[in-house]
Amino acid sequence: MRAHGVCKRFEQKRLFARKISVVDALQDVDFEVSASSVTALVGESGSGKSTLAKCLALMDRPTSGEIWFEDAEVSKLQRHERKWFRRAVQMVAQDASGSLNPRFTAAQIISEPLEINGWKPGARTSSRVCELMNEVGLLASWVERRPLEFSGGQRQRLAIARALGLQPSLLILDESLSGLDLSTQAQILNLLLELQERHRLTLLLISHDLGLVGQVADFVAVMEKGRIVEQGPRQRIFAQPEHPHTCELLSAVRVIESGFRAAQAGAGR
Amino acid sequence: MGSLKGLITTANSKCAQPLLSVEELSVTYGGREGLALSGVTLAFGQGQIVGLLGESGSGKSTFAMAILGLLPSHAEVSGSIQFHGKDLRDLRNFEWRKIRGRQIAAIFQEPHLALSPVMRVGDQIAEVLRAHADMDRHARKERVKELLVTVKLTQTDRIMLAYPHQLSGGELHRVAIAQALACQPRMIIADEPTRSLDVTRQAAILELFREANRNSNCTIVFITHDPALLAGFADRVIVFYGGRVVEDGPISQVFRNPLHPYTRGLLELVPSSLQQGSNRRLPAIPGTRPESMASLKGCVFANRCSVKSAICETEDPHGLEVQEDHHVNCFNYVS
Repeated sequence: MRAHGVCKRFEQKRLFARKISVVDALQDVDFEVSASSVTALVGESGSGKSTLAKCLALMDRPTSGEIWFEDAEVSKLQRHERKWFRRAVQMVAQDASGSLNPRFTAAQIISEPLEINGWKPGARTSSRVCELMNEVGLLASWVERRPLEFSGGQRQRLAIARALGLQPSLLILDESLSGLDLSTQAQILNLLLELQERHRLTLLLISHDLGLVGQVADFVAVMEKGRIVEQGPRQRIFAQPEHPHTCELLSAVRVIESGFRAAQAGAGR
Repeated sequence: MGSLKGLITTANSKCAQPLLSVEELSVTYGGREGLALSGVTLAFGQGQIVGLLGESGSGKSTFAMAILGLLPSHAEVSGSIQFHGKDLRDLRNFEWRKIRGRQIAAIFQEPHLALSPVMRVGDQIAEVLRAHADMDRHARKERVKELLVTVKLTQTDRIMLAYPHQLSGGELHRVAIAQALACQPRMIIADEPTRSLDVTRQAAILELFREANRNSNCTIVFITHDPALLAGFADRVIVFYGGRVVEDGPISQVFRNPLHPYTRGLLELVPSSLQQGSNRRLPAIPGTRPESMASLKGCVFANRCSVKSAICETEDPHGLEVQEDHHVNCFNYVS
């Protein structure tokens, strides 16, 4: 997937006032996600990463610019033309609890996108649902449970199972790991890596935590105030960061990680 | 439950009597939820920074709520909680009002949920002062300004007049801390206060806690799932798992030499992105915690443990002192 010159502007008109407040959430973004890779998009809150994710997933239309996916320009597609895209590109949002209907059972949640795409309720759909639950590490016997009966980490797995239903080629995970415990984060990341290898998926991990996603990414892109300030292979970004903001993020990671290693080596408070 | 014993932690040698002393604290909810906390015995001294480390569901938040007397009414609590010589289990509502906010302050995960959306922030901090301190309006205003400066919010006029929705997330976190510090409490309980913050902002918030501890010698009970936050910050660490304390001790000792297999596994999870040659698979602790803990025989970590033996399935491990002040609840701990 490639974004070229993407801009996104939000305008707020105040009632009775002449002034229109303008927020340029994305400014001239050039961004590339290589096939079958794990790409990390990092930035602080407000840097525009979620806005970019929504544009890439076509959940929001960019104000200007182009988005290319598999040799087709997709940002200006009409609704009925986007169906193939929706099957190929799936997004798992930050708040899994918010994106899972609390009144649906796990089976209904996972089968919803299948049914929208023409699968009829029946044996084939049920077995596909069980298959997906197993793939993400949930017991098939839990299909009748509702989201509230799952833990936070399990809800994320459920959201991932739903996203995998239509066999997408690109999975976008928007801060899907924040708010989870370290151990759950590690398990979900391992699951994603496994799924990526098994299905040759492309993963786009969006996070504010460079230390976390930097462990597994092939490529890293850094965002600041609506722009991509640096992008490249993970090794290069970590070893020779060029942009000051990248250096800032890396030094925060360094402080935490080396502080921890020092404590492990026996340094006191 | 008779065979369950927690750990006994002796207080810091600085102070004669522990500020908070908890013995055999157990919390149960009838029905599906079951056992939240089992046989916890701990003591904290004045001026210590104590880290409670554990994943969701480990009981660390239940522990905090039990101390604050904020458990839901259907929770069954047993054991004793002594705070500054007073038994917190016996308090009535009006007595609690003298403790909460004044002697023990609390900061929770989402600061904007702790603040009323319809009151100006300055008024909300002043409210704490009105409830507990004898000050006139002018003195209160000055104190609020002082508090905002303490938490590094220098635009005091703007902040005091603002409503919560007009402030950024980082500013709201600092306001919540200012509110907690208002009456110079003896103890501050902070439950995952930095969880929703960017990594870059967490360090600044931790520094505020450190300063509060340095300046007023208040005890800080810092609850988190992330060991990296506690390094260089806490004096002691207490590791919770499955409603029990599995290990505790001075932080340098526990981090350098984790005895309990769960602690070891947890410490390995701290990201090591700076290490070259990233091995793609992360060292995750296999399995998940057992669904129902009430009927569990034996060690609660047994089903995920790599060093378990036969006795672990039938008996719950007791507290063992390994080195001075470093305790572990494990039959097969490895040094």
